[in-house]
Amino acid sequence: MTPLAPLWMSILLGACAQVFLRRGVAGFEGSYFQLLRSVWVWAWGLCFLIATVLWMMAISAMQVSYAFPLLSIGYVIVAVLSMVFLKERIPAYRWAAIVVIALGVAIIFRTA
Amino acid sequence: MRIAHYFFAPAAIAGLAIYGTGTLLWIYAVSQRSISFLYPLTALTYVMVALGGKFLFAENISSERWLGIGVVVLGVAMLHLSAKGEKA
Repeated sequence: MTPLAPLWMSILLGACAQVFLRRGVAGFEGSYFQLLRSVWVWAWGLCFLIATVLWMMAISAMQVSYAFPLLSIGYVIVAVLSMVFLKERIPAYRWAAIVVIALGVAIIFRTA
Repeated sequence: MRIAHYFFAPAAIAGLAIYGTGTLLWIYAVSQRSISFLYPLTALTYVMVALGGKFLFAENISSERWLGIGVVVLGVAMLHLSAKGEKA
Protein backbone atom coordinates (compact mmCIF):
# COMPACT_ATOMS: atom_id res chain seq x y z
CA MET A 1 0.00 0.00 0.00
CA THR A 2 1.48 3.30 -1.08
CA PRO A 3 1.50 6.13 1.46
CA LEU A 4 -1.02 7.96 -0.74
CA ALA A 5 -3.92 5.67 0.17
CA PRO A 6 -3.74 6.28 3.93
CA LEU A 7 -3.18 9.98 3.23
CA TRP A 8 -6.36 10.40 1.21
CA MET A 9 -8.34 8.16 3.55
CA SER A 10 -7.10 10.25 6.46
CA ILE A 11 -8.13 13.51 4.80
CA LEU A 12 -11.57 12.15 3.89
CA LEU A 13 -12.23 10.62 7.30
CA GLY A 14 -11.00 13.77 9.03
CA ALA A 15 -13.42 15.87 7.00
CA CYS A 16 -16.29 13.52 7.81
CA ALA A 17 -15.32 13.68 11.47
CA GLN A 18 -15.60 17.49 11.54
CA VAL A 19 -19.01 17.40 9.88
CA PHE A 20 -20.22 14.74 12.35
CA LEU A 21 -19.04 16.94 15.22
CA ARG A 22 -20.98 19.91 13.88
CA ARG A 23 -24.05 17.72 13.47
CA GLY A 24 -23.70 16.57 17.05
CA VAL A 25 -22.98 19.82 18.85
CA ALA A 26 -24.61 22.62 16.83
CA GLY A 27 -26.40 24.87 19.31
CA PHE A 28 -25.61 22.52 22.19
CA GLU A 29 -25.81 24.14 25.61
CA GLY A 30 -25.24 21.31 28.07
CA SER A 31 -22.10 20.08 29.77
CA TYR A 32 -19.21 18.31 28.04
CA PHE A 33 -20.17 15.04 29.74
CA GLN A 34 -23.62 15.15 28.19
CA LEU A 35 -21.96 15.17 24.78
CA LEU A 36 -20.99 11.55 25.37
CA ARG A 37 -24.68 10.71 24.77
CA SER A 38 -24.58 11.93 21.18
CA VAL A 39 -24.03 9.29 18.51
CA TRP A 40 -22.58 11.99 16.24
CA VAL A 41 -19.96 12.90 18.82
CA TRP A 42 -18.95 9.24 19.04
CA ALA A 43 -18.82 9.12 15.24
CA TRP A 44 -16.56 12.18 15.33
CA GLY A 45 -14.30 10.56 17.92
CA LEU A 46 -13.98 7.29 16.04
CA CYS A 47 -13.35 8.89 12.64
CA PHE A 48 -10.90 11.32 14.18
CA LEU A 49 -8.96 8.53 15.85
CA ILE A 50 -8.71 6.43 12.67
CA ALA A 51 -7.87 9.53 10.61
CA THR A 52 -5.04 10.33 13.02
CA VAL A 53 -3.59 6.82 12.83
CA LEU A 54 -3.80 6.86 9.03
CA TRP A 55 -2.16 10.29 8.98
CA MET A 56 0.76 9.05 11.07
CA MET A 57 1.16 6.09 8.71
CA ALA A 58 1.15 8.41 5.71
CA ILE A 59 3.41 11.11 7.12
CA SER A 60 6.06 8.59 8.12
CA ALA A 61 6.47 7.65 4.48
CA MET A 62 6.21 10.92 2.61
CA GLN A 63 7.46 14.47 2.56
CA VAL A 64 5.86 17.00 4.85
CA SER A 65 6.00 19.53 2.00
CA TYR A 66 3.67 17.26 0.04
CA ALA A 67 1.35 15.92 2.75
CA PHE A 68 0.43 19.10 4.63
CA PRO A 69 -0.72 21.17 1.63
CA LEU A 70 -2.93 18.24 0.63
CA LEU A 71 -4.75 18.64 3.95
CA SER A 72 -6.25 21.77 2.40
CA ILE A 73 -8.38 19.54 0.19
CA GLY A 74 -10.10 18.73 3.46
CA TYR A 75 -11.44 22.30 3.61
CA VAL A 76 -13.17 21.74 0.28
CA ILE A 77 -14.50 18.33 1.33
CA VAL A 78 -15.87 19.78 4.57
CA ALA A 79 -17.56 22.61 2.65
CA VAL A 80 -19.19 20.17 0.22
CA LEU A 81 -20.25 17.74 2.96
CA SER A 82 -21.64 20.58 5.09
CA MET A 83 -23.70 21.75 2.10
CA VAL A 84 -25.07 18.29 1.43
CA PHE A 85 -25.34 16.87 4.94
CA LEU A 86 -25.92 19.98 7.07
CA LYS A 87 -27.59 22.27 4.55
CA GLU A 88 -24.99 24.97 5.22
CA ARG A 89 -24.90 27.93 2.86
CA ILE A 90 -21.47 28.44 1.30
CA PRO A 91 -21.13 31.99 -0.09
CA ALA A 92 -18.92 32.45 -3.15
CA TYR A 93 -16.51 34.38 -0.96
CA ARG A 94 -16.00 31.30 1.21
CA TRP A 95 -14.97 29.14 -1.75
CA ALA A 96 -12.56 31.89 -2.77
CA ALA A 97 -11.24 32.13 0.79
CA ILE A 98 -10.64 28.36 0.87
CA VAL A 99 -8.68 28.54 -2.39
CA VAL A 100 -6.56 31.42 -1.08
CA ILE A 101 -5.90 29.63 2.23
CA ALA A 102 -4.95 26.43 0.39
CA LEU A 103 -2.56 28.45 -1.78
CA GLY A 104 -1.00 30.05 1.29
CA VAL A 105 -0.54 26.66 2.94
CA ALA A 106 1.10 25.28 -0.21
CA ILE A 107 3.53 28.22 -0.23
CA ILE A 108 4.32 27.83 3.47
CA PHE A 109 5.16 24.15 3.05
CA ARG A 110 6.93 24.38 -0.29
CA THR A 111 10.30 24.55 1.43
CA ALA A 112 9.50 22.46 4.51
CA MET B 1 12.52 0.81 25.85
CA ARG B 2 13.94 4.28 26.20
CA ILE B 3 11.11 5.67 24.13
CA ALA B 4 8.59 5.03 26.91
CA HIS B 5 10.74 7.33 29.01
CA TYR B 6 9.76 10.25 26.76
CA PHE B 7 6.04 9.84 27.43
CA PHE B 8 6.66 11.18 30.88
CA ALA B 9 8.79 14.10 29.77
CA PRO B 10 7.25 17.39 30.96
CA ALA B 11 7.09 18.72 27.41
CA ALA B 12 5.13 15.68 26.21
CA ILE B 13 2.67 15.88 29.08
CA ALA B 14 2.28 19.65 28.66
CA GLY B 15 1.78 19.18 24.92
CA LEU B 16 -0.92 16.58 25.52
CA ALA B 17 -2.66 18.78 28.09
CA ILE B 18 -2.62 21.77 25.75
CA TYR B 19 -3.90 19.63 22.89
CA GLY B 20 -6.72 18.29 25.08
CA THR B 21 -7.69 21.80 26.14
CA GLY B 22 -7.60 22.87 22.52
CA THR B 23 -9.95 20.05 21.59
CA LEU B 24 -12.46 21.10 24.26
CA LEU B 25 -12.32 24.67 22.98
CA TRP B 26 -12.74 23.43 19.42
CA ILE B 27 -15.88 21.51 20.41
CA TYR B 28 -17.29 24.69 21.93
CA ALA B 29 -16.47 26.70 18.79
CA VAL B 30 -18.13 24.12 16.53
CA SER B 31 -21.27 24.37 18.67
CA GLN B 32 -21.42 28.09 17.91
CA ARG B 33 -20.47 28.55 14.24
CA SER B 34 -20.73 26.64 10.96
CA ILE B 35 -18.05 24.04 10.25
CA SER B 36 -17.40 25.28 6.68
CA PHE B 37 -16.32 28.53 8.32
CA LEU B 38 -14.35 27.11 11.26
CA TYR B 39 -12.41 24.27 9.66
CA PRO B 40 -10.42 26.34 7.10
CA LEU B 41 -9.57 28.63 10.01
CA THR B 42 -7.38 25.87 11.41
CA ALA B 43 -4.83 26.69 8.70
CA LEU B 44 -3.73 29.42 11.11
CA THR B 45 -2.06 26.60 13.03
CA TYR B 46 0.76 26.53 10.48
CA VAL B 47 1.22 30.29 10.83
CA MET B 48 1.41 29.99 14.60
CA VAL B 49 3.84 27.07 14.40
CA ALA B 50 6.12 29.08 12.09
CA LEU B 51 5.99 32.12 14.38
CA GLY B 52 6.43 29.93 17.43
CA GLY B 53 9.51 28.36 15.88
CA LYS B 54 10.93 31.77 15.24
CA PHE B 55 10.31 33.27 18.65
CA LEU B 56 10.94 30.18 20.79
CA PHE B 57 13.69 28.43 18.88
CA ALA B 58 15.17 31.27 16.82
CA GLU B 59 14.21 29.40 13.63
CA ASN B 60 14.51 31.47 10.49
CA ILE B 61 11.44 32.18 8.38
CA SER B 62 12.33 32.55 4.70
CA SER B 63 10.72 35.35 2.71
CA GLU B 64 8.83 32.71 0.76
CA ARG B 65 7.34 31.38 3.98
CA TRP B 66 6.42 34.93 5.04
CA LEU B 67 4.60 35.23 1.72
CA GLY B 68 2.70 32.02 2.45
CA ILE B 69 1.82 33.31 5.91
CA GLY B 70 0.53 36.54 4.37
CA VAL B 71 -1.59 34.64 1.85
CA VAL B 72 -3.10 32.46 4.58
CA VAL B 73 -3.92 35.56 6.65
CA LEU B 74 -5.53 37.15 3.60
CA GLY B 75 -7.59 34.00 3.09
CA VAL B 76 -8.64 34.03 6.74
CA ALA B 77 -9.78 37.65 6.35
CA MET B 78 -11.81 36.64 3.30
CA LEU B 79 -13.23 33.73 5.29
CA HIS B 80 -14.44 36.12 7.99
CA LEU B 81 -15.96 38.38 5.35
CA SER B 82 -17.84 35.37 3.99
CA ALA B 83 -19.31 34.79 7.44
CA LYS B 84 -20.45 38.31 8.21
CA GLY B 85 -23.80 38.17 9.93
CA GLU B 86 -23.75 34.39 10.17
CA LYS B 87 -25.44 33.15 13.35
CA ALA B 88 -22.96 34.58 15.84
